[in-house]
Amino acid sequence: MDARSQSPRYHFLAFPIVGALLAALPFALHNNYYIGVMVFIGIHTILALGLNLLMGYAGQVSLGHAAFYGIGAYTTAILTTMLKWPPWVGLACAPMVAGLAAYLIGMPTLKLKGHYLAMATLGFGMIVKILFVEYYPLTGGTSGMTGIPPLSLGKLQLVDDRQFYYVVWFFALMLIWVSYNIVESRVGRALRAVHTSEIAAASVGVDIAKYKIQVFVLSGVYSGLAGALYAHYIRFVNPDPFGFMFSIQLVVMVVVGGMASIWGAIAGASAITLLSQVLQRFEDYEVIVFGAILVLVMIYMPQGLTKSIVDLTARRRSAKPSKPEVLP
Amino acid sequence: MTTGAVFLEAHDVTKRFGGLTAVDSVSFTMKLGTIKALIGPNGAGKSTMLNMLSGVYLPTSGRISVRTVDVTGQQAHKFVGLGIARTFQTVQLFGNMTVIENVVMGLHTKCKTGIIQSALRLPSVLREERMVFASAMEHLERVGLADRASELAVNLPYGQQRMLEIARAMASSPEMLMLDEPAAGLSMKETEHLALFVQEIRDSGIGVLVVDHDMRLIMDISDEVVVLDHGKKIAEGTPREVQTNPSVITAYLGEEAGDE
Amino acid sequence: MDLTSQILQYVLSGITVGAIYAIIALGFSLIYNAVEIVNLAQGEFVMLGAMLAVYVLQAAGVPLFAAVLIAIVVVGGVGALLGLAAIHRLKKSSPLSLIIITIGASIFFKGVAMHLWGKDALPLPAFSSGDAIEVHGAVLVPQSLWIFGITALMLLGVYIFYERTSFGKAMRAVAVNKHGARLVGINVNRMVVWAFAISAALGAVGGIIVAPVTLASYDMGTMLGLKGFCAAILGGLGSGGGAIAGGLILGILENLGAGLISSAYKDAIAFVVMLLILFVRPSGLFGGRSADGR
Repeated sequence: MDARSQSPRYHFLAFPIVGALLAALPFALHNNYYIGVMVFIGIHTILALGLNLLMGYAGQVSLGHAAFYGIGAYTTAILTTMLKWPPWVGLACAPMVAGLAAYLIGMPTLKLKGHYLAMATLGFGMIVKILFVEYYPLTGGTSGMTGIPPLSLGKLQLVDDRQFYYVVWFFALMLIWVSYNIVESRVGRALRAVHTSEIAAASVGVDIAKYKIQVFVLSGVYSGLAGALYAHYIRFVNPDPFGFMFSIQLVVMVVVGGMASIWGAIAGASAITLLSQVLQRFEDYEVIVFGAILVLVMIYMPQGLTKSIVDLTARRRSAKPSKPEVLP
Repeated sequence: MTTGAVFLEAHDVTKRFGGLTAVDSVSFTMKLGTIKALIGPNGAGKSTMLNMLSGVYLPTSGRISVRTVDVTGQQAHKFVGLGIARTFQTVQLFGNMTVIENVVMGLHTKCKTGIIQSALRLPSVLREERMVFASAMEHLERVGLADRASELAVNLPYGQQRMLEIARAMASSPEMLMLDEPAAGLSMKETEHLALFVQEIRDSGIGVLVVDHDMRLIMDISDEVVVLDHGKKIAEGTPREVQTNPSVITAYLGEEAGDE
Repeated sequence: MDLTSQILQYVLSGITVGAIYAIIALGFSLIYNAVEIVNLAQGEFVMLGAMLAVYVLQAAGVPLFAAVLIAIVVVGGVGALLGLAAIHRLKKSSPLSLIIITIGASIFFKGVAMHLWGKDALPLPAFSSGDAIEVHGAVLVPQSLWIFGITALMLLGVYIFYERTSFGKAMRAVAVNKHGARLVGINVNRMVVWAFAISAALGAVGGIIVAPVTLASYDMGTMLGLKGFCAAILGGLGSGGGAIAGGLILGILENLGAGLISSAYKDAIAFVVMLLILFVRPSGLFGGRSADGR
């Protein structure tokens, strides 16, 4: 919760270390399967970062964020297959379209509070998913869209998992840097202020509505980029990954990683992505175990995995640990 | 700023909550360089009045104007821009921020950095950060909290939290400062310190509106006093005039009798 | 069929499914009133009710009404358990964690149901045999009449419970003012558990009466639950009458929209209606609590 624990020095030390570790990792992993998992962790990290800015810092919940992820994926899919636009252009347009969608839905939605906001975003997510399924002239319906071209650098087509790994983590680290900059700035302070006391924030002139919508759009942009990366990695999109369940998984990534924790996004994305990989081996039991874990984590570790572990090992006393007040 | 010039006017301001009339057509003016106190028994509508003058509540009827411009119905965050800063009855600090960051929040409207500039950490952003932190430090020095700048605000003792809240309000360089029960919970010594500071603020040409129950403080520092009872203005004048006003005495005695 | 009988047909099917939405919406409102939790596992109670009834009927060989009763009681018990888990966290958690707990529970229930009873849709016999009734060219199956009747009975029961029994009045007191209720000696936690149990049982009834029409399957609950929530929002979350009206209106709108405009977007209609209501009139068509928190 307390963003102060991420002091600039700590952060700028962590950055090269994490960067170097990530750069070296593919040399340690000989199995391409694990590289593939790492690519997904990278994509999920980008999603969790965006949602964490919204939930952890702006204190607004979204139970429909998979929609923006899907909008990003379908945008680049449509642009690159139907209009034959270059993949990088598609990748650039996807976040913009997702951001625009976030703006349009955010304007009326962010006026709502608490459960109503949660359910409105849920409803939005359901509608978008239904559009993906039903508007088949554009989306290919349930069978989806194939033939999405790979990203390329010069003549080199990035079709190899290892190459794509570096692309995804380049973006992920860049967005970690960007998110950190925002959090540690006037804008970030204003967001934290709104989170602590809306009335005091207004008294110093913070335009709460403006910041809420800005962060909502920003998290839409992140999700759109993640969706586009997904589309160019798998090179096929169908509606399945962009449903309600994935929206919930995203929220869980943020909660598990720790609200208002930039690096926690990596932790949360890793934990949930790995968990669902492991659970796949249990086949029919997968959902049961996932549901049970969800309930137990929320009951016993509502502060998130990273925070709970830190608390257990360090028993820090500074600053009363405030609970994640997500919904006012 | 010209001391004595009218800054804010309340015209027949009324606030009803459901069937309850908390403030009943109250009018008064606020001048620059004066300390005005708003007093009255519990439930007289003082805080409600303050909340309307700072845009937290929308008046049910009546008009509020700042420098003769009607500002009724403006959103709360716009009032800082009008030159009005305030503190709260229950201290409303940003507890998970450091002391200096709280004051930096007071400078929010003076900065321009938006989400895109800050995302890219442009040189202009860093310049502005240095500037606001330096400026915030000066405000902390004025209230004697400079040595605690990097502590979390929640860790300050109560009296210092009150002073920090005033420092945050002053950081926006207001023309009018509203203090909602600033002496509540303060020790004698802290109250004296507060009184001096408020008078210093007044002498710099700022209008101060104080709500408090500490009658000694109010009578010592105020230039003018407005008395509310059951939402109505029952008296207005200098501290001496108000003290001898029969209806004021009745209102207060009535309260004490009711408390028995 | 001409257009009028077509429309009549849509309206009749709309009321049939709308009655189910109404029951689910009522369950949402019961819990929301008691603890201000949006219980997203509500839809799974519907599923559990239907699946259990089918299972008990087949496995135990008891008469239909006995199977139905057993299913309702068991689901009520499951609801009570969820209520216990929720109050365990009530004071310490943000509404978000509570929502996620109920989502986790719903995933869990769904997974268990899939594991126990498989992925196939299972039939539950209609409550009475007989031919479909024809009304001005529109067709009504007898089970629809059962649905109307039982729904009306349930709503009446809930009304009497709240208005006429001291237990129901105590529960209403909890909804209005928890602290005050505690002061006058009401065991708030017990009331919360009962609210979960009752709304789970209500959900089960909804699932059981609709199963003869739609079949019962492990994944029938999610959509029904969410649409029930849309209905609750439409009528005004927390308002009993609103839940009923919201359910019926939503059912009719959905069937008219699907029939006259496009059946592909049938499932989207409920959510579009919910968003419009939230944006334009968040307190719902018939009052209830305001959504903007003021």
